[in-house]
Amino acid sequence: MQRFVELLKELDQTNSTLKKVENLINYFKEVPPEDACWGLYLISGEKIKTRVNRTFIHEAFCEYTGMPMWLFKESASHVGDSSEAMALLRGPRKVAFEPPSLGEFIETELLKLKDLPENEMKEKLHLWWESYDESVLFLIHKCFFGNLRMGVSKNLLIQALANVAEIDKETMSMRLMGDYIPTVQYYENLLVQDITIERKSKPYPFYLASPVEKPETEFTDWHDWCVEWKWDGIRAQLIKREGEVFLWSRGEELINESFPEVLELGKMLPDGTVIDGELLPFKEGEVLSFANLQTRLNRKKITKKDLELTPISTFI
Amino acid sequence: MELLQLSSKGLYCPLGDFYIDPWEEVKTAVITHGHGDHAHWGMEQYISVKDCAPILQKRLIELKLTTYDYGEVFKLGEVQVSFHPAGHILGSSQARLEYQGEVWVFTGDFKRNEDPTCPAFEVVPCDVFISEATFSLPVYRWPNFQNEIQEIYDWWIKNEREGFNSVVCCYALGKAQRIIAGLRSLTKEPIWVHGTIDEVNQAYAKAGYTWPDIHKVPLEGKEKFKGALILCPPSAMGSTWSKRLTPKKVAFASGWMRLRGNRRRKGYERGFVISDHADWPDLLRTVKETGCKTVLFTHGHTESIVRYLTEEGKVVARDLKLPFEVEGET
Repeated sequence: MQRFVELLKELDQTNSTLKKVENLINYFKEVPPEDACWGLYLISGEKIKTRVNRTFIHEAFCEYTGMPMWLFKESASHVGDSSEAMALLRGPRKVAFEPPSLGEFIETELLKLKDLPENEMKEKLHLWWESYDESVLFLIHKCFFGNLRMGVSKNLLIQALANVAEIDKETMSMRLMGDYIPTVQYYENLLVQDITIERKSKPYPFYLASPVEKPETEFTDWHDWCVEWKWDGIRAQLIKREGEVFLWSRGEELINESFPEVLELGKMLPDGTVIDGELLPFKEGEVLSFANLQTRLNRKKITKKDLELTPISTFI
Repeated sequence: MELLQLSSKGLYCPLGDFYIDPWEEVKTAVITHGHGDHAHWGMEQYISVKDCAPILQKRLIELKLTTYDYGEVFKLGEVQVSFHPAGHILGSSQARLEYQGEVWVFTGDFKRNEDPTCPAFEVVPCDVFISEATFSLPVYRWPNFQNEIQEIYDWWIKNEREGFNSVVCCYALGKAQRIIAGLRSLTKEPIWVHGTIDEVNQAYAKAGYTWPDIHKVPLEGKEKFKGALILCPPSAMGSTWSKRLTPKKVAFASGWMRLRGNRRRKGYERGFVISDHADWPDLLRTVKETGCKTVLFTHGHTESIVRYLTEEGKVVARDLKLPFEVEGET
């Protein structure tokens, strides 16, 4: 746990994304997969399924500190994060116990908690609050409640893990699609160096517009040019290879999850087709605004309502 | 009769016809310490503890000032008044008022943690205790002062190795000197300060507090800094003055830095939890140790501490809203 706490401290103490990626790389290189799989899970903001009720923990904490519930609530709302508030409320300690490794703690302590009778569960929590440093407690609380918020975007994770695995970012982006699973198996699969499976999804360099350098009056070779409207959407590539469909943004992020209706269209394409075009929201014969399109970006789950309000069509 | 009453100009003592830390012009002002929200300009006469004089004289020009030692009793009208160390900054005091055996104490700002730049807080037994409550929520628990100083030092060394200057933003009066004194127990390396801090240092020197090898970063000038430690008020960041310190890492030293969100919202890379105010445990401890029957709180989250003490039921606790800004801790 100490190494992960160290990582959190490093991430928290820099505003530079470059430095953050470096911190992540060092972490993933240094710790065994038994810890790293959980580290990755937490850093991406997931909460561990401990099946221990939030209120139960809060009540146990008030009992431990002898603090009335209203004061705990007031403090938590002042801090804006109950995991942090609980660590701060316990307060700094001169001497603290060395915690076990992250994987060991989660698998042999945290996940076993739910099997204990309530009073023993409480005893266990009290023991942790009594033993550990503020920063370790912060982490333990975050295991329960999730939402680590360390300024690490998926993109930074992709960069770091791609570096650790010594593969390209697009492939890592593919592998990180879907839900994180906190197992050694999942983590080791992420880091496999063989990328033949993913290669089929790889996009071509994007067909992007760039400004014309000379003023229009100097053009003499008009006939060699073709003028196309510059749509205000996002550039994307739709790929169908070996029966699978992939949608890439120009930032080389796989955006399959955000645009299910485009994937449906992709399925109808003949195998080996790649379409480079502008992704546009289109409804009742009219192109909607970029703001509309934005409601569809960076979303994991697209609802039926989203599909009705902002349908997408690829415009080439 | 109440020894102190809240009026539109400040905390007023009718039996002695004087005010404590008034914010509007009055005849007689008893001043607890030199921070801008407690020592205002324009009073006919000022009364303070001796060590406060160089600071008041620096801040307020043409001032008619009478000073006393800590513990020295003097009379204002019918009331016996004395100053007692508050441990907040140099020259900070609690004001003790006594009339016909009844004792009231006003703390001004105070802390109980270690501070090499002023005498330690003294518990003054009283009937009515008027306490500041700037950090009156239980999340505010201060780490050990020397540990935080060590953290600053380690951060400085790390930045120096990576080719950065280390800039610590802190309040110019009190906090800066406390940090300097703390660092001087760890290192002889030169420390650089902003002009505002340099001026305060001169006032501290008059009271006998000096440190070797502290240098001013002048407003204009071309010297380049590399791997240096620089202290400045937060307002100096973003000015042309601060551009000369690039490449730099910037930290903030304040009790508010206890909360991660506070630091991140302000964009500081590091926060050092060093406060010149009492934390929650010390507020409660102090109320208890004074043996007071009634406690009134000013500044901060007074509602929480009032409710907490009321539920505990050992003292009568109330709110006393003074229009002080929380300037001492920005």
